[in-house]
Amino acid sequence: MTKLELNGPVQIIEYKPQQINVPLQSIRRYLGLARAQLDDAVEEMIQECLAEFLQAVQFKACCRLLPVEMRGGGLDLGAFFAPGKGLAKNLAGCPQAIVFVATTGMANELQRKRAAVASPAKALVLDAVGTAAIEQFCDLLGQQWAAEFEGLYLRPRFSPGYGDLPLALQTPLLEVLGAQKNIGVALTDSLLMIPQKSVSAIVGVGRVGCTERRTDCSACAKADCAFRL
Amino acid sequence: MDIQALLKQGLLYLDGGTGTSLQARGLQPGELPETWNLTKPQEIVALHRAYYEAGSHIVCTNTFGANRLKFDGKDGRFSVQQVVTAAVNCAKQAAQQAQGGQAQRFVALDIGPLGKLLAPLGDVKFETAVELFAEVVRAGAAAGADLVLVETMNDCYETKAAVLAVKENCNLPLFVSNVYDEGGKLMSGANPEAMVAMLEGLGADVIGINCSLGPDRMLDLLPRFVAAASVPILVKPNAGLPRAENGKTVYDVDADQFADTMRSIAHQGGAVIGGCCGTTPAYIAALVQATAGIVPQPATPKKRTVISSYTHVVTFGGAPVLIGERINPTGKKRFKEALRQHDIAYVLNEGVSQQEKGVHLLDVNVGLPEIDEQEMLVSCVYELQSVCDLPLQLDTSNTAAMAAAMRIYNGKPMINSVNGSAESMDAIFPLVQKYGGVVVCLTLDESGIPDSAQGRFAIAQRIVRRAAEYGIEVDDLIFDPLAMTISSDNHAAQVTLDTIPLIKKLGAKCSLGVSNISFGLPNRDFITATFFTMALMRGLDAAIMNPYADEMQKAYHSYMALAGLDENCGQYIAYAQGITATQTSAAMQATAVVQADGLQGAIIRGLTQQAAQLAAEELKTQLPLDVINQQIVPALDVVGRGFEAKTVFLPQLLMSAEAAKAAFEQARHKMPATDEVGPAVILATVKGDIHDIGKNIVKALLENYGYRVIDLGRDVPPEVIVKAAVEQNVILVGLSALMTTTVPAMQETIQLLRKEKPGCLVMVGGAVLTQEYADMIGADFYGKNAMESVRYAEQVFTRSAQ
Repeated sequence: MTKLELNGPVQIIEYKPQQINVPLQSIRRYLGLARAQLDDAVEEMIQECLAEFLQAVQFKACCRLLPVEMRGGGLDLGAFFAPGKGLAKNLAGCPQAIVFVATTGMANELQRKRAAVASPAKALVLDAVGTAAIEQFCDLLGQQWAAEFEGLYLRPRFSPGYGDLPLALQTPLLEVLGAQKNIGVALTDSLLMIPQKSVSAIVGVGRVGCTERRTDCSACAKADCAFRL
Repeated sequence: MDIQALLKQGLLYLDGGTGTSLQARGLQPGELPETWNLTKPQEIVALHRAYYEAGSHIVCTNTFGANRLKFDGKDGRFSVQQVVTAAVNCAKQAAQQAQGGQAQRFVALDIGPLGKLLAPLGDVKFETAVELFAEVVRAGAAAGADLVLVETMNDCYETKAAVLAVKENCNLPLFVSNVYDEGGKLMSGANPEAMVAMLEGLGADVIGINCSLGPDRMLDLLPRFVAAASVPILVKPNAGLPRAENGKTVYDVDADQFADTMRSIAHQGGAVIGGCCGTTPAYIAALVQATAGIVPQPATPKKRTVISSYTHVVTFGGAPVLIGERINPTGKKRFKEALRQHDIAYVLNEGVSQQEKGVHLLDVNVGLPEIDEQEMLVSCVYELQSVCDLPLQLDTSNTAAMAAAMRIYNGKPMINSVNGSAESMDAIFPLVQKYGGVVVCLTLDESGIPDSAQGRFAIAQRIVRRAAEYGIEVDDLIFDPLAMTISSDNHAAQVTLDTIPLIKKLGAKCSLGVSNISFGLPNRDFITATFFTMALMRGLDAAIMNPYADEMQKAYHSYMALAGLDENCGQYIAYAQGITATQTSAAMQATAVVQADGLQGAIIRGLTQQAAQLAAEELKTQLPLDVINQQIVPALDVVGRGFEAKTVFLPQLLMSAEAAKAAFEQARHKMPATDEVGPAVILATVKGDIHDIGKNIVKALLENYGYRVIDLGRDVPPEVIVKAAVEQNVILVGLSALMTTTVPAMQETIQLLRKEKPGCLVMVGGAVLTQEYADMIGADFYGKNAMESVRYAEQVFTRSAQ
């Protein structure tokens, strides 16, 4: 694997299905079952859906390392300008950032559509499997980059639509990565990504870590959330 | 000399990279390369000229992304017309100015992807895409391009849209090139064989591969193109992979290595060759030098009968092909009901289940006198292709419906059917000529069905001759020698069987609707399956059949094993053992459940198969309405209340809903045919939002509780929702949205409904909604979950009944 270089070409990363261990606990969580008792029929369906998902999945990501400069009300990343305070705060002190899009691929998209025809329950479970899988994939990419940038710190990933970072940033972000051509992720007119199980984000790389260490449920105040672990 | 003639003489050289070369000339990130045709034409001419001088016959205009989505002529932006005209002029100027290189120089109008995804996966409509491309084609042809190159397409459907636009708007030669990954698939899943089948059907002159891969990987994929294609093959690789070096982007395959591999490519079947990203005039010069004197293999007709879906092909002439016959209303009360109610989900379910039974393609017949067949066929084909990757056999006698379905079909379809009458051939063959396809030809004509094999053969000969007049080869014809029931004519089977070998002598293939043979007899499957085996022995290539019939499955799997088409009898063993296993285990489970708590228990546990079996059992002794009211509804109630009390969770609720649905279907079969249905509720995910899982959950539950759900799908504009509500006089509409950004579309829909359909109630739901949000946008009800929506619907309709 070649290393990410500042302003270098787009790098495409692929993971094999067996490299990614989709946590069952996350799947249950996205199904709203985090605190439910185990049910054999549901567990069986989760297993079946996970196996089917892994048969069709194509974990792909594309990324670039871009320079970050604080400028009037936002951040200049060279290829585009990211307005707002949220990302600026997240990236404070980072001279550069990894910009990436990751996906589980189009075959899973079709799989879900197909399941919805005969079995809404299966479609629901496949949806949860997809969410758990893409999150896990992004976490692994984070670990890969953390190893690559040893001695530096990676910030938690920040996506268009978080806080005050406009969703409109999707367009230049996907464009600068050639996301449609490179990994098959396209935008709708309303700036949603297809395949749906895709993530676009910016990850700051700096000499210091961020002060907020917690990224799990305990960092959130919403105690009555159905997804809370 | 024109380009077609030149193609026959030797290798044809394309140019190299444009985008990457312009970056080297100072194009900034984010700047649209096509603007340079007008703002820096000297740079464009210089680049084109360098390619001509390096030895390219064909230079591609700088119009890769020159469509209306980027160039709309508004707010100071250039128009498509301006950009394309300027681009063609730059290339023509370069062709005139160039010194040395080839004597013959051509300008190819370059067309790249739109940068958006087509529906059903994305949100660009097929005809919108055709029109966007057509605009480019018209401008390019008017400006004097010599040919069109559709390139770097990674979606089969978008490729078809571009090709149709070219064919319908100019007479220029057409080269088409797709992007494949290392495994030989497009981003949308198509393999080279599928692309070749579709593109040859649509009349592409050259077919190939470009971008993404370096020359080595393309060399690996080349044999698949050579084996499949009857037209010359284009190969335009990248200069390997890019990497950063001292702040500059460099590619890992240099000009000499590139030329070296291209020499092998030229030897092994690449006839139209050039370079893509990272290649420069130096690469082209090296390539031309390295391949000097190589005479490319002539493209030869492959003489294969092939149809395709958007992922793969089905070939006739090897193992028998099974065509599922179940999507057809003939003699099916429930199917007719579904068609009259525009219940496409029912049709889709038939498709998906037949695929699970192992058929290779699906026949699609959705005609009824009282419905708009064209609209129905188009909707069904489109929706089937979004959930099922099998090729389809379009089955209608309505020519307009056939034309519309062939147009939007994603791949090369099978067409059912034409016959020997002049009227039929004049209607169907022009469509095949335009869109491509393999046609089922019935051996009958104006005077009916001949009662001898010779008579049927004579019609087949006539059809072959007439097809040839339209340029349709015998490989694209499959003859149906017509199975007629033996219950009225004892010799009917013999005539049909005797016709098969005669037709095979024409070099054509044979298909039969086998089920007809047993019409009017008891236990029809016995006769049908044996007839099927006999026909296979005589050379039958395909059968339209019922995949749920065990006798047919047995006949098929046994034949495969006996004919040496099933290695180590592997498939037979899996099939035969599978039957015993599922029968016993399902029976055992069913018994266990019966002992526990019967049909109700099966529904509460969400056991779909068992619920259906137990319902069928109960229906033997009880009235359908009693089974529904005393068993199914109470079971649903238990689950619904459990969900509300948070002892049952969403996946379980849905599994029970499915089990209940399966039980309902059993009851429905026992009830008299009716078009009376429950109260109608419209459901839609609002414009801009593509998340439909929540909407589908609400749908499943509402259906369980007896409502007729009019599911308008996702990304639905307000006007469409309002139109449906007005036309069908619906008093309850459910809207779903997952994103904060699409809540305004929900509000807009509600406002329009208030105006156009006063009194219609609106319930809303979705991840981002809250009671406050719902109040703010003027909804009548906020459903926190699917059960709440059901409860609200119950309230609404009880009130309205009072």
